[in-house]
Amino acid sequence: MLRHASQSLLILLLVATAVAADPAERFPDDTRLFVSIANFKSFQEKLSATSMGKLWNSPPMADFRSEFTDSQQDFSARLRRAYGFDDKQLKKYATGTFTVAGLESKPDELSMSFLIEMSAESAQKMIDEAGEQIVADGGRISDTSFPIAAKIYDLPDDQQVLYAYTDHGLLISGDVAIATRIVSGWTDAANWKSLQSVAAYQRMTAAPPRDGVADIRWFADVIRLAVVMNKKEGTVSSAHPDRPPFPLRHGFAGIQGIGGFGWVSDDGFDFLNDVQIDAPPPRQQALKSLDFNAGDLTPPAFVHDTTSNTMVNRWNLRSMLANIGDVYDDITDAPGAWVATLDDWKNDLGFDLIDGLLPMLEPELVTHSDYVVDAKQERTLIAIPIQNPKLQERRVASLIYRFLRNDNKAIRSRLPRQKYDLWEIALQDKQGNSTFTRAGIMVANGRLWISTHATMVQDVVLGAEGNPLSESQEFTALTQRMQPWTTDQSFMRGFVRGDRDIRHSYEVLRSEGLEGLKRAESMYGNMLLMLLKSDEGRPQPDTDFSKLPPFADVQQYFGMIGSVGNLTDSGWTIVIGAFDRQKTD
Amino acid sequence: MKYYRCALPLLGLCWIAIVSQIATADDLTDRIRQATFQPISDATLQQRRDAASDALEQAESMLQHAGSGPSWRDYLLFDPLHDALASDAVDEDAIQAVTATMYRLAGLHDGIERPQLTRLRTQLVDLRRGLILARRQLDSAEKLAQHQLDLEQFPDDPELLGERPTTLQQAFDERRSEFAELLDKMKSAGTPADMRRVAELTAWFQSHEQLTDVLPRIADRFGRANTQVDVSAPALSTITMRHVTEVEPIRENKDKVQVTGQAVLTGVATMHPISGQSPGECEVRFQGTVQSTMNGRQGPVSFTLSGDTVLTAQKRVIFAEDHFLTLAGTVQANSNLRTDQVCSKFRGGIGKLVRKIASKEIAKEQPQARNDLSRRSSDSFLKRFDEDIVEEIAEARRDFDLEVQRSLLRLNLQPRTLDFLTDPSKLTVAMRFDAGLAQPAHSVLPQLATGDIGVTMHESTLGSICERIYAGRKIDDIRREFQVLGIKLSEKDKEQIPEGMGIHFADDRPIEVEFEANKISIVLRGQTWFLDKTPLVAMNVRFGYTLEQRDGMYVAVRSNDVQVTAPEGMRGGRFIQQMNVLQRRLLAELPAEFKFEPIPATKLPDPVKRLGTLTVSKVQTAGGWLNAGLQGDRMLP
Repeated sequence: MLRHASQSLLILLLVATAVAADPAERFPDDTRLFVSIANFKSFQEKLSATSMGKLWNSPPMADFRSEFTDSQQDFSARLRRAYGFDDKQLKKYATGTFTVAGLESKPDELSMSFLIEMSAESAQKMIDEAGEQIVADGGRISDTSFPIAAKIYDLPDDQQVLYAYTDHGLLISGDVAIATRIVSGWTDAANWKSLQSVAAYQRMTAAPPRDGVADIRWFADVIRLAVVMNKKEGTVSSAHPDRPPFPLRHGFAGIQGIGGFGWVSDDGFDFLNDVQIDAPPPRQQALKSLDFNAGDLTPPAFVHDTTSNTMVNRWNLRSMLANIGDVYDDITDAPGAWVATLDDWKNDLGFDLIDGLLPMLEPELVTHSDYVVDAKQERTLIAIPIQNPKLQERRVASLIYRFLRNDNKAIRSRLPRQKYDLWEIALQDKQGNSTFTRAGIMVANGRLWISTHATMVQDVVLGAEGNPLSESQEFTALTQRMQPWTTDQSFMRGFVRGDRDIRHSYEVLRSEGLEGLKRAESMYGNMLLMLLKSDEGRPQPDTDFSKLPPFADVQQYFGMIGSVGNLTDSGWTIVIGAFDRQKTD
Repeated sequence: MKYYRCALPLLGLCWIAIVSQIATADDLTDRIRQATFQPISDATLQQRRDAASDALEQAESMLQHAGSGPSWRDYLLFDPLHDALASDAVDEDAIQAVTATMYRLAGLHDGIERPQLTRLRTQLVDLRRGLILARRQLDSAEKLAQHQLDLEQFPDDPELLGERPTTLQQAFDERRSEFAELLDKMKSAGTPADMRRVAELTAWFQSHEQLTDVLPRIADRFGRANTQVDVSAPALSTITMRHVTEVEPIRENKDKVQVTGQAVLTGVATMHPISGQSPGECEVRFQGTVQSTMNGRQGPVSFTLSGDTVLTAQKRVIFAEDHFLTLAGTVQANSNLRTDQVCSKFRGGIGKLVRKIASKEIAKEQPQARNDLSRRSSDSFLKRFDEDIVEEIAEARRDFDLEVQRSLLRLNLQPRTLDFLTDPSKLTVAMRFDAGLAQPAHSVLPQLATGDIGVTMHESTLGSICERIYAGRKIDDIRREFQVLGIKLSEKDKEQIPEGMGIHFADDRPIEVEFEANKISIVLRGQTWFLDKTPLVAMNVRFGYTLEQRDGMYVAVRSNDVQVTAPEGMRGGRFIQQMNVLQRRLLAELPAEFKFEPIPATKLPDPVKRLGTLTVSKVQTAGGWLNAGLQGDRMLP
């Protein structure tokens, strides 16, 4: 009995420890960004065991690895310059939980603090090594006071960095005032409000999506974070100095947080991420455009098993477009432009978008991409079903016709056996990067088709031969894997065949570098460019992508990615799982 | 009675002149009314391709002998041009290739004015117009066919049923009648609006190669110099003022009289416009004095004489487009001579006597000596004056040929006429660019601006120049274009032009300016606009500035009616969306005002800087004309 009791007590204690193990309680409630890795050591090992980890360490990547390490983009070097340590030391000394938290040190600056579990001995070594590094880089010991024993350095760029070994691990902080708040808070429970007290964080952790401790948990007060970044980048309009920053306008502030849990090399998944977007109703203004509907998510038969990626998203298009006017005016810096445009469309062209076209469309967007090997084309198609097509197909076609008939940049052609024209237009993204020189739009077979490449509309509408994706073994396997997260509240399902999906961008990047990507006419290319875009004070990476191995050598490492989006009481969850394709065959 | 006899033939002459003019005008409008649409044929197009190919061949063979030939070939984009000429395609690529070389053949580059290259340019201008026309014909036919297909798709679309696309033939017919009516009206009373419409229609017929025999006659009849630069007589005098100082030794030995000494010439030469027998006649006037000092000796007597000669000289110069002519000069001299000193070797009474006799003798000789002095001074001066002026005018001609004429040729901006006109108050350079269809400035401007320099420019000048520089041209970066044009922008100005803003100008009337009621309106026509390098659909942007006087300074204040319109038949969905954004952005970003600030002398070229700081004394616009006056303060920096 006593043994049972002591066992129960032990379990209770364990549970209590486990519960208390959330490092969110060590950081204040105004933490804007929080990422915590449960076990840094095993996390590294798990990362290496993933397909991406294997790819990175594979022999064909040797050349590129060294190129990448040498390049300006080297993460370690930047970390060392700012905080005195790098990832190599972390790998050497960190044993348990690793947490990084971003807090506002000034209205336009986010300062990072790290709390790393390690032995006292390791901590001392790391403190000593960092001290040497900082002094070598021109830093000096500071005489700033701190509640507990700490080493504080003044860096040459007027920043400070603090190292203090605490009961909860080694605290490294880029801001002494923030570190003081954190450490003082730990000993003053009565006045301490941790991140755990934040409602959005509580909602996120209330219903863990899986049993067991996640490898990684994270949370971001994205709106506040965006405000800080906005100010830092100086994008606050000088014409409207009193206006709140963009992320606080248009109802976006209704997003109270985005966060989630991640697992690595777990249960057959390379990565599994449960992302929660917390935006409890009632939603205002632009947030109302995120109006998703649960329902059938089976890819239609025109999506064949040769697809690179497919997504079925049940989105109310009328809500989407009827609520983005203010954002549009804001982004284009043209107040009143959206309403004026809608009115002119309606009055001059007879094209009523909001109350004419959109109500005739089903709330279903099917996005589907493929790769044409011979033409080296990565194509993406969006298909939207027309409600009651027998009656309304011609009306939709007529509206599209009215919209485009006077467009001197639109070319049309008639496909065999089709009632309505296929329109080819040039589409460009705002950055002037990749342009889709022959995008297509057409009404046929009860749907409105829009594609980055008119040829794709043509292929699909004319009924290219192939097996439906929904009947393929790969799709079934993916659906099964994602089944635990698929509910009657699911509004989105995604299927990605990584090797097909990345191929075009990979090959263009390898043969033509970043410049080539600008001409690649690829959605991925555009996204990659956005990620790699140089910002102020940081030069465009001069990485030599030609050192990447041929695609055939690395193809096997790009696996499957499945995703499911669900409606929740306070917002939406998106679960994304990546796994090795070999395991589905 | 005598007077009547003289007047009768004169009246008769006028009558004949009036009758013949009316007959010409009627004849013109009749011919317009009877004209039919002439489409461009494949054969004509091929002829032009062949002509361009021949010209290209000649240009290439000329370049072969130049060391920089290969670089020129590359720069002039001959390879793509070859491809375009070899193909019979009438598409955007062919038009672009021809257009690109055509524009590369115009610019301030040494050698671009060589006949082989200007000939090629002319052929390409013709070919390009032909290609665009042929494409328009194809488009028009395609539109008709498309309309039929559209009707099949949407048989109940009311707009489709209501509007059938017009053919070029129909467009021609409509314009032809309107043109004839307007011309009839112009004979008695035309308004500036009528004249504008005539100019617009002329441009349409020109670009569509219609009424080709009538258009030059209309230009001759209704066209006039559309740019005039006046330099006032005082300004011309200041600019041309030349101070002369010359010293010449005198050494003579005549009838045993030895004379030595020097003559010092000081004076000022200036140029003045006059009403002469020819237009463009000016007179160079010199006014000065010659101060002569002569020391003479004859036998026992030595003497010193001083002479003052007042010299005035005139020489006429006739300025004309093809030559500057100098006429023979005239000079007037008037001398005064006095004896300063007479000395004798002898002393005492004899010496006195000799000095007396000598003085008398010298005095006796003086009228003759004075005449001699005047004659000698004027003879030697006139010779040099003539030579100098001839040399300077020749130099001015060389400058005019090299700096003005050759630059205009290089830029492909030669005016159709260039005249120098003078009256005693001013020298005028009057140029007519293209048709120059305009009402006379004096009939629409209440009073021309006065000042040292006056500029009177009709809106058709800018239209013509822009047509030649920009029609169908693609400019990727407007900021860079300002640099190319040599317009220095301040950092603030540069910021106002968004980076990556570009324009592919329309094929017809790419930039138009309207000068009316103290407003300046500008229309930019783009077949494609680029904003942040993103192409936008075809749009015409119109904005305007009103001229106001504020604190003694003229200011152009932007009006709030910035308009973005679609070219005919191009008001599509994307146009509406982009227009609504662009219009609002332009309202926020176009400069709110421009000040006509004084131009400091340091920024003026020599010798114009002698006028000092130039202040804009007046700027006005009316009836298609812009008139501005600049007055200098003569304060030298």
